[in-house]
Amino acid sequence: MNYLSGLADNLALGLDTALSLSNLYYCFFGVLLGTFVGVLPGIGSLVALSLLLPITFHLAPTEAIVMLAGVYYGSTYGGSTASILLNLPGTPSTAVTCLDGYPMAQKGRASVALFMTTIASFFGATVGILVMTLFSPLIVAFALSFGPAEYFAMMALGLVAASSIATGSPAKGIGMVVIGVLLGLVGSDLETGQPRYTFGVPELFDGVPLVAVAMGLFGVAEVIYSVRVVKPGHVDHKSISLRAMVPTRDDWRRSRMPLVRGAGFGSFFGALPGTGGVIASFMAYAVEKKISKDPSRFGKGAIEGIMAPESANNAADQTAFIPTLTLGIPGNVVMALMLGALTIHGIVPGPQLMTKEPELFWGVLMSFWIGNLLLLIINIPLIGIWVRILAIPYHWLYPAVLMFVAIGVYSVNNSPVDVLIVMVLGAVGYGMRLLDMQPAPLILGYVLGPLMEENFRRAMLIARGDMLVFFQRPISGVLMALTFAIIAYVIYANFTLKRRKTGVAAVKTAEQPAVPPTPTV
Amino acid sequence: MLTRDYQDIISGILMVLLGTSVSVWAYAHYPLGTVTHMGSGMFPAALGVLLALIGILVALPAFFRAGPAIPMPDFRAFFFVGLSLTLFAMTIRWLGLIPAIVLVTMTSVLADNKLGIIGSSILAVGLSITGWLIFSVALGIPLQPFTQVWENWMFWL
Repeated sequence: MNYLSGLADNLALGLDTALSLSNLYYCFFGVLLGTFVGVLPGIGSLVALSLLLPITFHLAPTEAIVMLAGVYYGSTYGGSTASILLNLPGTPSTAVTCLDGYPMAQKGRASVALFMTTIASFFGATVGILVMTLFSPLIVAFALSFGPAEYFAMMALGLVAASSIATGSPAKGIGMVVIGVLLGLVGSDLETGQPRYTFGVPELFDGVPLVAVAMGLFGVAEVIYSVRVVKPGHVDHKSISLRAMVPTRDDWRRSRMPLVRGAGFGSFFGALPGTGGVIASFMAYAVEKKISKDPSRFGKGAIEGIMAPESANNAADQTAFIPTLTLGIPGNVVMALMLGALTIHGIVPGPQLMTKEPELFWGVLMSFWIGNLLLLIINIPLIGIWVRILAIPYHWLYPAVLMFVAIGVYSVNNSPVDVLIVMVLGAVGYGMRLLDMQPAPLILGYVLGPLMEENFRRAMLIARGDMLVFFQRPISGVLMALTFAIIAYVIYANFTLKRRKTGVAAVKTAEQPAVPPTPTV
Repeated sequence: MLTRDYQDIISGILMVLLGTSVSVWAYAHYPLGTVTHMGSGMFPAALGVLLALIGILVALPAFFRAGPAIPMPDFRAFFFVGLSLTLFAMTIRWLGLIPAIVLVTMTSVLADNKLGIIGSSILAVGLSITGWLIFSVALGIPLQPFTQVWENWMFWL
């Protein structure tokens, strides 16, 4: 009972923090902006987050995380709008919603689909938040016994899992992680103070700024790539009206169980490092199709086919915060940026966060609930406006993105050199894009790199240089065994790979040839 | 489709080159130390070797399988986007926020050249106001809209 009463106190504290005027304001701003960028093809939550990162320098840490998180889960709401109306996923995790959402729109049921996915998103997110509330304190209690060896093993597992499951060619993904770790080492060595790989540029002594890495690789590279590619969408306005939004009784009946199953899948995969919304939504869809009495309805506008994945990806968005906030280990790139935003404010994410900064932890958690409530309220009446936004041509948008990049980066240190670093990284990012080298694992490696080195050195110092320490301690031994199992699989898959698609990408091509590849990151 | 997976071949080779140079640089410039007391060079040197090995792993099988064509780089977009950021970096201190925003806008629209001179001007004015409102007014970041240099130059006209 002690656990439950403590939880109630914490939730009250969190609600108190989340309901403060400034946090409410940034939460509202975040979810509104998130929905906006989610709807827009060509600008995803990653670009938006990297654009907002410099602004967070000027905010309090709780406000910053509340806002960034709002953009993140808000974009999943918006992403399904683009999926349903345009057959073009606004964010990767809403790709599977195209399969049945777009056929529903073609049948004139777009409003029902938009309404029901909003409900599904809210339900999934609520379950995700509940899971996070109940399990985070338990994980923290467990994690307090972690030593440097466990942290290193945990990070290694997270990085290897993230790079091999979530992207295309697995070996290449791990390579990108290593490049990211190396990029993270640029600057003064934490222990000896020796500058490494700075080549005499004083601006690099503090390392390559996270803002510059994120904005260069995602913002600028994305703009260069999308300038000639992204076309505005055309939407049939007739099928979107408030009156047409009312779902039938049959819709409700069919939606109930997919909602619950989707939320279950989402909560589970979201909390695992390296998986998350994309995999959860595909799994939820595949399972619904498999257990359905009439699988032939899928792909032709079955409501189960949009409810399960939307519930799953929103639940996953919330539970993804569990490893980030309790262990300090980001499960995906967005979480890596969150971690970066926290570190910028001098807050070390990890098991101590909950005890040292209870207002931040529980305040952010409760703000998720408020944010999702806001999304539920603003999404339904605003659907008509989002539809009009879809028609903004990209050539009006990208100069604005570049302006935000330039001013944002400059304002952090008042340093023109930082703007030039962004330009160089943007060029590198564009080259990587042409070679299909994914920037997402690179950023994960970049954020975790210095932490990994620190823990590795510390573990070696304690164990007097005995590498076997990683395998002898029980928790770290299990984690390392898992890591090596994945590496073994990667090597095997690497040599048997015939087509360049693996994992999620293979599911995509197998199940939805009609969907054009999303330009959004 | 090409007969070989050139995307992965080039990526792999780049990884080998980067890994080797990182390792050699670390070995030549930073103390390695011992495994117990690691110097600043140990971790990067080891990672460089690891990256080179991964690069081989990426490139080798790619020789024996078909792959997609490498997309043609859009040099025009690449050039004008780069130029707009460079101009911003060069002018933000010298001329001030508004001229720098105008330069970013007017240069970057050339990347796809769909907005005419009128459209670009409208966008430049709109973004100047938005940028100034968001960063100077709302966030309170000290950015001068126009610098002293600009005023002196106006005086000379």
